[in-house]
Amino acid sequence: MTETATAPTAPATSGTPLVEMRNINVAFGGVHAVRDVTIDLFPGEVVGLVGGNGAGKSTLTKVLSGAQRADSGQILIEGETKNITNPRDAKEYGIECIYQTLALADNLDAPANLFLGRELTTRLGNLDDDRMEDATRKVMGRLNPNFHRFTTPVVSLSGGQRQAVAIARAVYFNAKILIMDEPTAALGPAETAQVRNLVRQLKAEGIGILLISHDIHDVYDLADRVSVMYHGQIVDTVNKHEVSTDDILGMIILGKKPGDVTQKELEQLELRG
Amino acid sequence: MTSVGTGTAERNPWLTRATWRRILRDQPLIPLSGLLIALVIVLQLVQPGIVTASWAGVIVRQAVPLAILAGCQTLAMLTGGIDLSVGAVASMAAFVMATLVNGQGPVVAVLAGLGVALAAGVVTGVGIGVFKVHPLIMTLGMSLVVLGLVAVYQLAMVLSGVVIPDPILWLGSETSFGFLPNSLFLFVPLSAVIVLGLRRSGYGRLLFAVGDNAIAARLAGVRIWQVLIVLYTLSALLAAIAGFLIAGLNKTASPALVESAVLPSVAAAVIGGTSILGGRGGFAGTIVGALILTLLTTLLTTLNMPEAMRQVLFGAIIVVVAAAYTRVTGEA
Repeated sequence: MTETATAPTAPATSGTPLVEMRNINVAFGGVHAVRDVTIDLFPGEVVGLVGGNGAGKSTLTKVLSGAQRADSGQILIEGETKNITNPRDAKEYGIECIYQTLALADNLDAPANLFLGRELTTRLGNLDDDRMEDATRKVMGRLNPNFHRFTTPVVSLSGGQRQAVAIARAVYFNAKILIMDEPTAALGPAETAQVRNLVRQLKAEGIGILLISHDIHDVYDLADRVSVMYHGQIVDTVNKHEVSTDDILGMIILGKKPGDVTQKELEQLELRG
Repeated sequence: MTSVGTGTAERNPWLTRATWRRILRDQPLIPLSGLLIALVIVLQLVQPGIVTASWAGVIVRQAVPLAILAGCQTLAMLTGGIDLSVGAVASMAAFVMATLVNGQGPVVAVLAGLGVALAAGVVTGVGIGVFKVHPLIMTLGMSLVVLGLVAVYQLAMVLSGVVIPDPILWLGSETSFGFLPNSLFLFVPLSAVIVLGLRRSGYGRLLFAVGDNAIAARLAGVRIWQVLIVLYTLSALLAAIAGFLIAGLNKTASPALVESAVLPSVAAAVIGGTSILGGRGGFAGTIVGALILTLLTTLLTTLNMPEAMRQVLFGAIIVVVAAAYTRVTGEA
C-alpha cells in the first residue's frame, strides 16, 4: 500500500475558528468526565482528539453534537456563542457526528437511515422514496462506489458498508463541522484507506473535522493538530509537525507534556512500549 | 427433512429452513393466510355446511373491532411499546357515549366519547414520552385510573339510561346485501389509512425507527417524545372507535365492555407478525391475525367446549403460536 504522507497543506489557524469550546465541564455524579476543556477547530482543519479509555473524548464530542449537556462552558460557532441542548440544535449549526456505535436503525434500508428524521416527502405529504434513494446513490457513489444494496435493511450490510451509510448521512447534509468517533475501528484495510481518502477530500472542501481515534497512526496521518486528553483534561494541543508519535503516546499514557516527563517515567514507558 | 449429501432437497430453495424463515419474517401474510384457510377448512370438516357467505359476515363483524384494537397494539409495538389501556379506554368511550345519548343527542354523545378517549391518550402519551414511564406500567396504570373514573361517572349518571344510537347500531351489528357487515364501511378506509400511513408517511417511518433504535433516532434529531404522544393519542382514538363498534354489536355499553379483548388484541398483533420488541411488523398482518383468533374462538365454540376449557385452550394456543413464530423467525 502506497500511503503517501499528507502534504502539509497547513490550513490557516488564525482568524475566526469554526468551533471554539471554552472551559467545558461535564460531571456524572462525582466523576468529573470533562474538566475545564478548551479546544478549537478551523475550517479545512483536522484536529485529532486522543486519549486513553475514559479520558473524556467521547463525552466532549457529545457536548458538541448535542447528545450530552455540559454543566458549564461556552460553545462558539464561527465566533458566535450558541446554545446546543439537543442533536437538532447541533445539526442546525452544521455539526454532524458519526458515532462509534454508528447509530443506525437496523431494520431500515440505507436511504431511510440517511434521511432519518429528515425524510423527503412529495407535495402530497407521503414519503418520496425515489428521491431519497437517488440522493443516497449519489452520495454513496462518492464514498463507496461498489455499494448497491439500497433496499436492504442495514443490519445485513458489512461493517464497512454500515460505516459508509453513517458517513453518508453526515456528509449529505452539508456539514461544516464533522465529528468522527473512531471512524475506522471496525474496518478492514481497504475500507480504512477509503475513509482516510474521504477525510482528506472533506478537509479539502473546507470542512472542519474532529477526529477521535485510538489509532495513533491514523491520527498522526490525518490530523493537522492533535489534542491529548487525560483524565478529563487537555494535556496539550500540539501541531503535528512539532512532535513525534512517541511524544503523543507519552502524553496519552502519562498525562504530561514531553518536556515534563522525567527520565524514570520515560524508562517505564519504554518498558511498557 | 434432513437430506445427506448433495441431494435435490438442498438445492431446492423451497425446502431450506432459511427460506421459510425469510418468508415468515418478511412476508408473514403468506403463511398467515394459509393458516386462515386451514382453519376455515377444519371448521367446514367439523361442522359441514357451516361456511357460507352470511357466516363469513358474522366472523368479519366480530373480527373488525378486535382488528382495530390490535391496530392500537401494532402501532405501539412498532415503537417497542404496548397499550394495555385499550380495553378500559374503549369501554369508557362507549359508556360515556351511551349515557349521553338521552340528554345530549347522538352527535354530542359520540364526540364526548372520542373526547374522553383523546384526553386519556394524551395523558398516556405524556407519561411515556415526556416522563419516560415504561409503556407497560403507564398503560396498566392508566387502565386502572380510567376504570375508576368510569365507576365514579357511573354513580353520577345512575339515572340516565344506556342508549346506543341508531347509526352505531347500524355500523356495529347490521349487514348490507345480506352478508356484508356495515362495520367494513368504516374499517376498510380506516385500515387503508393505517397501512399506507405506516408504509408511506414520514410519521410511520419514525414509528419504525423509534422501535428499531431509539438512540439512533434521537441522535438523528427525531423528537421521540412527540412521536410517542401522537402514537398513544391515536391509539386511544382507535380504541374509542372499536369501543363504539363493540357497543353497537352488543347493543349495550358497560364500564367493562371491552376489558376481555386486551389479551386477544396483543395476540392478534403478535400472530400477525409484529415484533413486540419494535421496529418490525405492519397492520395487514394484524388484520389476518384478528381473523385467525376470531375463527379459533368460533371453532372452540363449535366443538361445544365448556367456557372454562375454551379459555384454557384459547390462552394455550396464543402462547404456542407466538412461541412457534419466535422459533421459526428467530426473533421475538
